[in-house]
Amino acid sequence: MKMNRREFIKTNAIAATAAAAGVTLPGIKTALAKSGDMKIRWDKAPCRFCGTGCSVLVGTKDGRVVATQGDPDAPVHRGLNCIKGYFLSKIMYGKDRLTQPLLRMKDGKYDKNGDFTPVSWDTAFDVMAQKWKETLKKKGPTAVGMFGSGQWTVWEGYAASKLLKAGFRSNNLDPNARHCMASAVGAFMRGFGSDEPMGCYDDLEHADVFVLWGANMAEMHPILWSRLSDTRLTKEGCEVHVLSTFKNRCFDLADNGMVFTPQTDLVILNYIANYIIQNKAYNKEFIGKHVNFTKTVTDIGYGLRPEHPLEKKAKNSGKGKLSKISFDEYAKSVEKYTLDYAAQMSGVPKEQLLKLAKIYADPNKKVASYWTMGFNQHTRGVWVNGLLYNVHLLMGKISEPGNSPFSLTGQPSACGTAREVGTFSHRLPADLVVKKKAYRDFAEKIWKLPEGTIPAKPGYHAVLQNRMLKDGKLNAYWVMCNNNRQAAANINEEAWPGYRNPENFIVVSDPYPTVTAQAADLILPTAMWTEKEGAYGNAERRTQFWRQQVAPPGEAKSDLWQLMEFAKRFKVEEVWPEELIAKKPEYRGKTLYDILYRNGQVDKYPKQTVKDSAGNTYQNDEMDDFGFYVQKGLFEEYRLFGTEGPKKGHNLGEFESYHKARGIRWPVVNGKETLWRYREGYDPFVKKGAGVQFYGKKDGRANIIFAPYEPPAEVPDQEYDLWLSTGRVLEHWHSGSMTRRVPELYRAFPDAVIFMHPEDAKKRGLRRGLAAKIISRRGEIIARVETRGRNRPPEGLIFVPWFDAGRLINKVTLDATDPLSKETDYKKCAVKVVKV
Amino acid sequence: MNISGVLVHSRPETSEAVKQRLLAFDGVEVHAIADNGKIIVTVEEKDSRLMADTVMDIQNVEGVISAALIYHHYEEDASLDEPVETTRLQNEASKDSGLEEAAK
Amino acid sequence: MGHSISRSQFLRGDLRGTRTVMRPPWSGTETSFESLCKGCGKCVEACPEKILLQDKSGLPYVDFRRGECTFCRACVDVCQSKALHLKADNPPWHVNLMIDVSCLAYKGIVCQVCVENCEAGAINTRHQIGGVGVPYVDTDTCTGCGACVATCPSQAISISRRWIYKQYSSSQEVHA
Repeated sequence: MKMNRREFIKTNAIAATAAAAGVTLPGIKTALAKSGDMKIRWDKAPCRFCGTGCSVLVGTKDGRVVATQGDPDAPVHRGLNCIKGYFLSKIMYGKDRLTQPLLRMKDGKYDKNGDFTPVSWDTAFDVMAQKWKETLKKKGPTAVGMFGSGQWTVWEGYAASKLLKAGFRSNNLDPNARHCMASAVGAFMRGFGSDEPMGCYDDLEHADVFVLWGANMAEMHPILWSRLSDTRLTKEGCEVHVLSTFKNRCFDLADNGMVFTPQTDLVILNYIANYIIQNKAYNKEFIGKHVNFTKTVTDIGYGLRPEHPLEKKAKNSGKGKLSKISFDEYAKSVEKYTLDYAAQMSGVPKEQLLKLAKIYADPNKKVASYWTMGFNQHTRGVWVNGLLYNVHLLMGKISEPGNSPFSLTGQPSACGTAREVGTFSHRLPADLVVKKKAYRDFAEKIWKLPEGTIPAKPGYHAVLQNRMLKDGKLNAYWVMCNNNRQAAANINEEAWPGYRNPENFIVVSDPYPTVTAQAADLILPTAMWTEKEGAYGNAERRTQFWRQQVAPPGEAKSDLWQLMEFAKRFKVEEVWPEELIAKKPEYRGKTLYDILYRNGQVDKYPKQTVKDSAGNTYQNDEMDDFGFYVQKGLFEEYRLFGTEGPKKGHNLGEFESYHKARGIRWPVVNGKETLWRYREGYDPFVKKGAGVQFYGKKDGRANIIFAPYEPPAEVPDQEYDLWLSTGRVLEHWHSGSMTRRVPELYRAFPDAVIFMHPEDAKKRGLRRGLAAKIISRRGEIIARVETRGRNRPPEGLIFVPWFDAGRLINKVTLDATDPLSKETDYKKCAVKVVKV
Repeated sequence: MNISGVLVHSRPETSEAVKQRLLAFDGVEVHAIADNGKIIVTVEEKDSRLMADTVMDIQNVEGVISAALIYHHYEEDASLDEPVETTRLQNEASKDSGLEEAAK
Repeated sequence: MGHSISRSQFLRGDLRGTRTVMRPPWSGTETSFESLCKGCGKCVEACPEKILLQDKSGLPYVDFRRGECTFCRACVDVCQSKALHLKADNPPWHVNLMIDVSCLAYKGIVCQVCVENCEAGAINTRHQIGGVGVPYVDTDTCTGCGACVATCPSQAISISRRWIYKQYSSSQEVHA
């Protein structure tokens, strides 16, 4: 094609502009992946990275995923994608994929100090089952455990829950979502009696004002940020308020950007509540009808080991009891949180705080508040989540389009798998808890188990699992679909010792040799993402399904296959006491696999060909291996917890319906999804005429919970003179175990750096690009200094991303947790930075 | 010489009128209007400072919700009339091989 | 402004000497550079970033796919022929940075890699309604360091020399 340079440049200009507008112009070729190549089979799957839940079109050719592209028909993101999603298919093809089980061996036998040696699945499971059986015999069910994942598919989480809680009768099952969502869960349960947000992403278009509380959406949820930006730029009077402990990319769009002193979000929120009350702006009718006022027990410690001085000092270590108070008592409690006090504590100028308080107090402004780890990874995470609900509840700005306190999630199925399936150490599916006998009874009924199978005592949560491994109380341990030797805080003191404790046998299932896998005794190679059929649930209660697109490499197998296959190794007599078996004599001689997965429900759907509406067929390895439609059977059984369970409003749709839609938001009733919960007209569970009903609570009222400011566990002092906050970057997700294996993403952000104020660098003889050592009371790492770019900390604070396996910042962090949610505060500890 | 691609966002019902207003500017061409009111525009200007002004001016045209500079190319005038081989410049394959080389 | 045409220019079809390859920093006009440079390769060896290569005639050029220029002047320091030389406070070069349509932003992909790698802050994004942030370049602040080139995930960025007339030497075409 001949044209002159002017025409050529102009054509480029038109093509680029048309592409940005989402318009295809005849004669102008844009480089969209959806090509006419008939050899590529296209199907949909949710992205495997964050909790946004973008749908991607997956192009498969010759048994390999060759392209992914934003799905233009998906309501979540309308065809947009972030750079991680764009390179999604490449995560499966890293050069060091694990394709065989690897066992530490010496002289042909398992040896904790041996070298990793390839073995067959049979040998792997033989050794593993033997260790499990020994442990169960010697110490009982509390010595076996599992660390799971918010990246598990729904049925993998469900199958694991059954295997651990019913099969092994151990509640020592916790997901890595403990590190990211537990505080949000705690606050939902305390405030509303039902987990997960009342609103949905549609609020991004309905709200007049957006407030970000410790959520760097521009990097972490870029697609939602694009939707938010659209609204900000097109809606008259729309404002964006951003609160963070350092400047990030969100500040570029912010009308009111506020950098506050760590932990003082507790003060700011109480100030806003006080402002609303002082100005009598609160919604009297709403709080009269729909709200109870309570206060929480204070001085609750920091979730450290009981012998830690801070725990000894705390009057009510770990306590979370609520007691009812009157509105006047509540008003009195927040009275001391004046504008002056809030400004002095937080370091935010008064006029900015006032501006923020005013938009919440304005009855004519619809406010959507978003938060992620800034709130959740907080030693007062449940409190601070609750304080934000207080503000929304005082104004009645909740459960309707645009008025939405919304907890964003980090993992693709933190909601769908970890929370809804209930893979926490205290939970069962659909918001049930193990502590309550009625709930255990119900689960046992659905699972066709004898009464008393599920133990009543909550198991070890994530942080406690590491401590118990170190202390030798947890000995047979299976880590699946996560990288906790990188993700857990204070790994030198609290994670590594447990993994290498000679009393323990550690199994890690992963597609890649992560630092966790390398610390294991047995590594199991795992199928990932579209190498298996799956389902995820995103942050707005949207459940999305996908079909298996390709075969996993080598002998890699899905987590689901591993769980079910391992269950075959246990005769019920080897794990259950005689008196329990006696209640169900027909189970005698059966394996855990028979009891849990061949119970007439899970194996109800026979082997069949998986087909899409276009007639394309798909493989399903688990169906081939077990001889029935495993995924469907597990999902349909799991669904009974929502449709028949004691806690209403958790209904999911039928298995098949999810393949027809780009996800459906629960509760799903008569095939219809629910956008706003607790509001009549939107939520079918609200009683007619009630208007609003928080039906998770018996009296239908939500709790306003007063909680005061309490200081963080560790603050900078003379020696350790800087705050350390950790987090993520746009290019890398999870622990970087997948994204760092994509050459484009690796090149874009290869190593973790120390984001630092230029003055702080100068004071230490450092400048941009120089290596420096970050030292805390627990450990140290070396990284390069970055004084520019995306994150601009104030003086006195540094930010270090945690995705880099070569620079494990969690050697430095403190394992202080929220005593209520048991979620670690990765955002606050004291460090010093010195020149290397 | 500057050549820019500008995406103009307007309400669908006013986009035809907006188009007419845009055409009043020197160097502005309108290439397409999408159903959703997005207008694809190129601007040719001699001076890059004038270019920024033109984009600002477009922003202020009645009916324009937003105007965004999507693509900007600056080059000396004379070479603009030289012929180019478009296939060479858009050859993705040669780029890919360069990528691999860079990765090594 | 008549000047002679070099063979390499001729072969490129670059009769005006405006579409040159990227020579090392502080190399002056292509014509003067080609006449002065002996092709000794010392600058190529001296470059700590290893971004200099020699073309067929032995003359050095910059390959930004290998990394960025830190303007350390190591190449200038070793140049004996004065093909590379610092004059007063002249900047190393003026460049035209072009982001072509293979940029991921034009496909609706949120990518900030060039923005984040630009130390000078010359690349920023503007949000497109219904789309994502699309990068644009402020040519005046762009130093031409090339840090954005290799890191761009879609290899959409190219850098070329920009020739301008500077007021202080209006009588003569210089590479300022």
